[in-house]
Amino acid sequence: MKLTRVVWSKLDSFLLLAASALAIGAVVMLFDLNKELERSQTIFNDDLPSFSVRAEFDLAMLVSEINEFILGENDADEMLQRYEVFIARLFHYESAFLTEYSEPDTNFHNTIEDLKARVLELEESMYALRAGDAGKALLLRNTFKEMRPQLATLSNLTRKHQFLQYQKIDGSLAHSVFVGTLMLASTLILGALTVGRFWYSLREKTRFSEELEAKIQARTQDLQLSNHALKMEIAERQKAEKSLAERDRQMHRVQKMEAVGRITAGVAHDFNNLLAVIMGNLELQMNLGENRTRSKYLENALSATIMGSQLTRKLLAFGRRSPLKPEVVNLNQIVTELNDLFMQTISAKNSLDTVLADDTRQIFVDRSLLENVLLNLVINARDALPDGGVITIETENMTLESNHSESDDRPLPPGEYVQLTVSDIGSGMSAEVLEQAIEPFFTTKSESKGSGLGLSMAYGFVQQSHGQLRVSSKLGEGTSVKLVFPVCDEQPGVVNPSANPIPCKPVGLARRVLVAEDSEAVRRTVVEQLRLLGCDTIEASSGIDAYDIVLADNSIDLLLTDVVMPGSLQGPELAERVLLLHPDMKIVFMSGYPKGMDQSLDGPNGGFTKLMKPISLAMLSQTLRQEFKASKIHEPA
Amino acid sequence: MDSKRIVKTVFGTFLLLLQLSFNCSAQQLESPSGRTILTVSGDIGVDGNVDQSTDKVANQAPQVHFDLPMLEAMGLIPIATETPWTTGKIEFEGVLVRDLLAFVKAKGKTIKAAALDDYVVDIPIEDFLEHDVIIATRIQGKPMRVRENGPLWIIYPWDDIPDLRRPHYYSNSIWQLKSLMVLP
Repeated sequence: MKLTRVVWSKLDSFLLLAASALAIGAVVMLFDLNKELERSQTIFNDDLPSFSVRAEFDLAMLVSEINEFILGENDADEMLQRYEVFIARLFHYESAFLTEYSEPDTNFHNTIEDLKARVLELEESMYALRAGDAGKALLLRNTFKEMRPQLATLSNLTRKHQFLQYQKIDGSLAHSVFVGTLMLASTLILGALTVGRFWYSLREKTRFSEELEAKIQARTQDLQLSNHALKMEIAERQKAEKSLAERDRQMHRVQKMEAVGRITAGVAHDFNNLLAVIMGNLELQMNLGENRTRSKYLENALSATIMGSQLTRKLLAFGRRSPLKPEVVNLNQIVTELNDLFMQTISAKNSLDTVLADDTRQIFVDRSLLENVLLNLVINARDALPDGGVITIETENMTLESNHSESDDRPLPPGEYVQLTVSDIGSGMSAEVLEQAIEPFFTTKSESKGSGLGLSMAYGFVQQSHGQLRVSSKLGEGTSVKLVFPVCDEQPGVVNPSANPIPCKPVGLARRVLVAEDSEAVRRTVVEQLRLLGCDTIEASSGIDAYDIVLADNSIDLLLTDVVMPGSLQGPELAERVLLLHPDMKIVFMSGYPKGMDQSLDGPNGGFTKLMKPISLAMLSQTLRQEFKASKIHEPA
Repeated sequence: MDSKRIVKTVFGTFLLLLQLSFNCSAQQLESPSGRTILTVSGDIGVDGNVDQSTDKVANQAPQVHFDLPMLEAMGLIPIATETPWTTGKIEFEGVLVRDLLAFVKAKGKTIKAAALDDYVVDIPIEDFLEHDVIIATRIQGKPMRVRENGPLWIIYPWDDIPDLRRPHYYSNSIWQLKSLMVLP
């Protein structure tokens, strides 16, 4: 491409050079032709050949005139005139035109000069002639006649000279024609070359643009193809990602199912144990026959039910569904208060080291659950130290500047926090174990020692309290569990002393209580409990039944209703409707599941009293007492 | 130069027509007393005269004979010019050809001029109307001998008008002039 371009530019310059050469040649030729033309123009009728012819003619006429004079036909004047004309002719040789051509020819020149001299010699004799001088005239005539051969030679000479001149012109003209033909030919060739060059460049240009277009098209196609490929790849990747996400979700589901299975198994196992205890003791009690004294068996059964209740509580705590009763507390205070209990819990081999910061700030948590969690953690630490060691409990204030870099699934917002650390230098956990440590019913302890719910419960509780639980452990190096709670700057409330055991004594007032509960066993139990407390009871198996009863019976003092019941009328709506009929009606909810109780149970009169299943007789008694105490003001009796 | 020439042409034509209108009928001219040096014939508007030296009377067509005084009576015009046949600038004196043509009331377009040596040339009449062409009678103030190309020589003003320096005009510059014939 570059080479051809060079060649083409060379050709272009060659064409230019050739054209200039042609132009110069044409100019030179025209100049030459012009010169030739000038030369040919000077050969006009007064040149040498015509001069010779005229001189011959003049001589002949002179001779003829002399003859006529001799014959007496003419006078001397005409003869002399002819003589003068002849002399004039000979004198013309001296004129510029003739000498120009004749000078190079000395022969011609000499002849003319000789003739001139001879003619002028005869002047006197010529003018002396008178009419009748025939003899003299004849003599003169003969003298003139003798000049004729000389003039003829002159004619031949000049003719030859003229011929040479014409030949020269002819030659130069032929040369010019030759050069002109050459120039014409080269002009034609040059023209053809130029046209060809022009055509080629035009074709080249179109071809170039075509090539460019083709290239552009090819490039466009390539782009489209790659674009398509890219799209395909994107689609594939999206698909892959989708399937990956799907697999992840499946994995997650599997894991969840696994966890649920484990939980179910654990719950079933624990409940079976509890049920076994209850069933066995109750059977033993029944076998006692009529001797229905309060026996050890019944107490055993009751304690088993309490354990069951605790189990569900723990489960709920893990599920972050615990009905929390948070209060403002100080971690240092709680740790100090529980110190005795901790000392009892850890065996004598171990020692407890409490490092408490001077001025730990207040937090807002459920105190009893926190205590429970702390106890659990201490027990875990103790179990990790079978050969004895130090268990450390630390508290400190901390400030999170920004979202923590620590990779937690739920990073804490920046702010003030209080951290409590329970650490041991015990056996520790492997990474695998650590990963599963929080999962419920996962335990490395023997079946008798733990339920696998301790850390799970702690995790759920801390999360529910807007804090964070972190477990760090290395096999053989010990474990440390950190609890982080957000700071609450309110003053700590009056610490409720743990509830005194409530005596199971009758309420004392005969009240009519409507029990709305779909589960017959629960309903019957509650009804029995109420009767034991001295209440008059009516039973309803659904919300609608309960409503009908309320419509028909005006004497009902209190509605004890389940939150979730079959049918269209649920506990909260039943309460609303009943309150529309009897605004003074006491309403107490009971539920095994705290979800419904969190929201939507705050009626127009503020909060309703809520009872968490299972309901102990003491709890029921206390609740009813409080309810009726509040309404006593309105009672006339 | 062209405009000058055109003005002269127009002016000359005007003069010619003026003279023609004055002499609408042919009239007898007086015959030359001396030797005849020029004979004018052909398409002319005057009757011929007699060449007294030879007593020759025009037989067929009217012929006007001039001797030197008759010619020079029309007014001498000087032309100083070089010629191809002479060396250096020559002082010629002569009669304007168009004056002569007007004198004889010439009507044609071409003048056939003949010389003593039997040289003949046809000159278009425009030459004389466009340029101040003279029939020279004197060279350097003196009448010309035949051997000096005399007695009459048609001279163009070559020095004044370079355009005239061409073979065509040179061949028209007839010497030893003896007769003019006006052709239609």
